[in-house]
Amino acid sequence: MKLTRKNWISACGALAVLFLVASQAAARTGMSCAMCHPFASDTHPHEFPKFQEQIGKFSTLRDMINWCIEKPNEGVKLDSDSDAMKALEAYIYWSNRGSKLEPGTH
Amino acid sequence: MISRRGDLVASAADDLKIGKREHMDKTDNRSERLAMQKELGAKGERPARSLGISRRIFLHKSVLAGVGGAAAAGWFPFLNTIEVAQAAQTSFRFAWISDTHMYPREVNTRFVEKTIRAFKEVQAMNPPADFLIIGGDIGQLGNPVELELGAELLKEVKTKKVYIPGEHDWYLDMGKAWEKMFGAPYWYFDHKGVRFIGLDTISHAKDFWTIKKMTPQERMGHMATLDGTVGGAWAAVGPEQLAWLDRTMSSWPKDKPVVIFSHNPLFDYYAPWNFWVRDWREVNEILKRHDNVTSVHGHVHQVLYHEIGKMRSIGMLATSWPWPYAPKGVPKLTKCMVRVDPGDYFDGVGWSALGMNSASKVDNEYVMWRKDIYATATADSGCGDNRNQVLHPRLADAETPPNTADASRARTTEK
Repeated sequence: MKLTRKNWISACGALAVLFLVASQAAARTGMSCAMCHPFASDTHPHEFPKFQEQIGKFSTLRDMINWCIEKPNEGVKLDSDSDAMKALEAYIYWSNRGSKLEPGTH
Repeated sequence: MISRRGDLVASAADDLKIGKREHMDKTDNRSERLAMQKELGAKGERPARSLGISRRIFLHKSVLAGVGGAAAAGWFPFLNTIEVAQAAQTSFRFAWISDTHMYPREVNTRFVEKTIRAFKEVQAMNPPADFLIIGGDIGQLGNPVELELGAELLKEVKTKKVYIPGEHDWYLDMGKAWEKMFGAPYWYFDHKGVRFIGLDTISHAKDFWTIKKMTPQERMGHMATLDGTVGGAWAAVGPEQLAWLDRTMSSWPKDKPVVIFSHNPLFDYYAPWNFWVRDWREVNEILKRHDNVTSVHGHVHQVLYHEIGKMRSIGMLATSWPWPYAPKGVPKLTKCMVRVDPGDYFDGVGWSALGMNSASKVDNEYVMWRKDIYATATADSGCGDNRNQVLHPRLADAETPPNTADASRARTTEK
């Protein structure tokens, strides 16, 4: 599929739905990503990879997404290279575009 | 790491110093108020003279053992402020619980667990609460099963109970089940010299569902999505209720205290998440005629404090989960709670024990279940954390455009 603006918009639509719905299916708590991260806030995706306290090691955004699915949401983590994971990551980056990079503060 | 340790020492020393000063000023908090004003620094926004301030030292206890955090420092207007001296002056108390967001019991046991805990704690209040206000969003998806679960668990609380609806309770059947179980969505009563008003700020969404032939579940799904745009600027008091509010306020002396409960804040905090009511100006036109109005609201799931004209506004915690602070619009008078630990589902949530003190002002004690987890290094503050974010409403919703009739919402959403 050629990535036109229209395609990109509908892709983003699908991604956002994933952020809301698919993440809910992966969780055992009925919670979705967006319930703690409306507009993908408080995710600071552009500051990864970084040392992540909860995980206890240097982590990528995908590691963090999986931590959230596994720990607070008691779900089954995604294959880190899966389409679903890439989609979640893309949506988080998309929604945070224009944010200021402040490494080391979060 | 060295600087982090240095900070810790410095702030611990700071707290010792402050503790001493607080002791000296126990009867007169003038110096605190002056310092608070200096720190907050906003022109035209001054803390009320009656503002009660005290400090609590919260030691950061990380999930990872051995990682120390800074001790808390900073102003907590009405945050955990009820101390012995103040409690003694309190003429009566009441309690707020909202945003329990329960699914059917088997879907999410945590939300149920936390709801039960809040109800038990309210029942155990000593001195007891004169009444409990349930501030909306008992259920998550308006399912009667969820509302019935709430009503069943509420039997734990024997005190008087009053209810206002949240959007999560309403949009599956347009409030039918809620009204049947909990009564009228807006009301007032007078209690010990205070007029208590409950508002319905959630039932005035403009009809986005009919033209799209949505099922009730789809409608509810959009309304239950905080950062969705399909529901539009649904939060409002509405003309009919405004007229009622006008009459209700007019029949009460201007200098006597009024406490208004609503699900949404009655000021413009962050419209894209309906952290407001769209007719907040009209509401304030009515309220500003009175000298002593306190608005207590839910929906934001976070520590929030604001003053607008003579009205003081206090945001309540959820029992279910905390929302992050919005990327902008956080009132300057708010001392933000610290960003929560996502690994601890009791962090950043709880309920409120409120009281009417002898000066006829509302005291609020946030009963936050993990008090000892909080630190207030700027980077750890919920507000400090959000300041560098630029966020975008979802494009997925653009297929169902928001209610463009409301220009003020569009303005607020656009960068």
